[in-house]
Amino acid sequence: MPLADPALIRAPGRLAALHATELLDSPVDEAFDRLTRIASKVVGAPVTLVSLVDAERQFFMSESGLAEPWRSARETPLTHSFCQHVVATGRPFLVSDARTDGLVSDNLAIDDIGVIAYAGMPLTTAEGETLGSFCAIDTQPRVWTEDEIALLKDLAQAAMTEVALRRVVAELRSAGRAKDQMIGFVSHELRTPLGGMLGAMRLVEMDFPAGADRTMLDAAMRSGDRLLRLVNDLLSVEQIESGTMKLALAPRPAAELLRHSVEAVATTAAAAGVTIAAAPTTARVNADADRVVQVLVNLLGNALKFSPRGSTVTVTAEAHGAMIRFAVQDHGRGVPADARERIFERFQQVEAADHHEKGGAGLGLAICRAIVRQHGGEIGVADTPGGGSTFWFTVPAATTASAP
Amino acid sequence: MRLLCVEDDPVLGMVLQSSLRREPGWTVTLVTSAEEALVRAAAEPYDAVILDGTLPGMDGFEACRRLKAEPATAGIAVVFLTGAAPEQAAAEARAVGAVGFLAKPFDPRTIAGEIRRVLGG
Repeated sequence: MPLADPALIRAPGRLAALHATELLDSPVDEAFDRLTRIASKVVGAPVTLVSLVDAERQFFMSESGLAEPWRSARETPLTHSFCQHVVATGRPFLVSDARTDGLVSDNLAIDDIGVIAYAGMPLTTAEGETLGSFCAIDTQPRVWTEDEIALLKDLAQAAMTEVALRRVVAELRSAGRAKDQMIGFVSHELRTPLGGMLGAMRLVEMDFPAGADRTMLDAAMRSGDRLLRLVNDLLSVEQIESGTMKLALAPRPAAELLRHSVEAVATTAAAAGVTIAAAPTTARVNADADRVVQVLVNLLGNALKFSPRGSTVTVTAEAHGAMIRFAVQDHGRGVPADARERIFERFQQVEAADHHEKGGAGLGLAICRAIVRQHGGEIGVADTPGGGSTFWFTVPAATTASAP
Repeated sequence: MRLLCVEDDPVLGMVLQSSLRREPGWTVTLVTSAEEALVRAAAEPYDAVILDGTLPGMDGFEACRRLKAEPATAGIAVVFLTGAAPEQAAAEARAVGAVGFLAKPFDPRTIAGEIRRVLGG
């Protein structure tokens, strides 16, 4: 009988576990190749495989020493599979000479691939599903030793650890995506009742008797406005990160973006007693101008918040290979080294101990990072020589061909 | 001016109606579904319909399409008032024959002026 019992091979639970690995038809992977190379070398077998047995075929997640056309095809039909017998029993399958073996003497792999001796160890999940076989193949009759069998079993274990690890990583990623979608959904749903509340308060304000004490009304409206800003910011981060918000890329002079950004914060700068100096630049970006200005305004706003009165904030744009690097340099108290990664995450900010008015919820830099990343750029913070911090980011430069 | 406002959130609807009624000479009817809006628009004379984009049942864009397809209501100006992303909302509003769109959340102090601007008066 050339084929194993199809009921065992096609057991729905087993196939589900196999597909859940997302390894079928996945690219060649060094982590698995390393294991087959070790097996070939140590066991001295011409061919070793990590074979995943699907409903109608076996897929080679890794091979060492396999001949063409199988090497490129990375799969064979089950008519050529010894590994199916490992899967059917969930136990090691050892063959010294296939030509005289009761189970596989008519298997097509003998003539087509040259399989004479075979030692296959089950690739079994923690839940007990056998997905395939880690096997060694020889083209001559051979008695497999205890040591060789033990080594192949260990390598099969190592391969399954790798499979389980990938599964965990994939689950974490998908949990992260689900969380982001949830944030997007909640923010969107919050805006309707919030809009109603703020609108109703505005109407109350419009009809408020002159001379009456409006302290509490103003307090409620301030809180409401802040809540709305927060919800909008949360929604922005989610929309940018998920790609819902599309960029309108166009070649623009960096100097123009600097000017618009500086104008936008001029009033705040004047109130803070801080001078903003924009360095002249001939750089041109290929970017969404409004979004880049949004990032610059955010970074300038932060710089102003932490700058001592009478100091200067410098903003520059310089070509940096295929990218334009923007930098906002302040002489504030700087960002502690341990916070430099963290501050670009949502809801993270440097403790503003000497600052009563923090304003934001720690979303500004998260929005900046999302915008910069969507442009394919990077963002970071460094020390300003002589004290203070320099926030920088890169966006693509305009190519000369795209200049008008 | 006779306005028909379609808004499914009761508080937002009340705020919208109350904001617009302050304009001298404006009458404001409020309904909570697209289906109801179509019935009222066919039965009573309106100058403009203020439509929420997302409504339970028939959505605002479909409602606008139907208003424009019906000779009796095709002449009524439609303005969308929607929380959707501006670029997308603008394109969708144009595609179904609306004169324009306004973004939510709206400010009761300025909403009437914005509607007047979109209507071109």
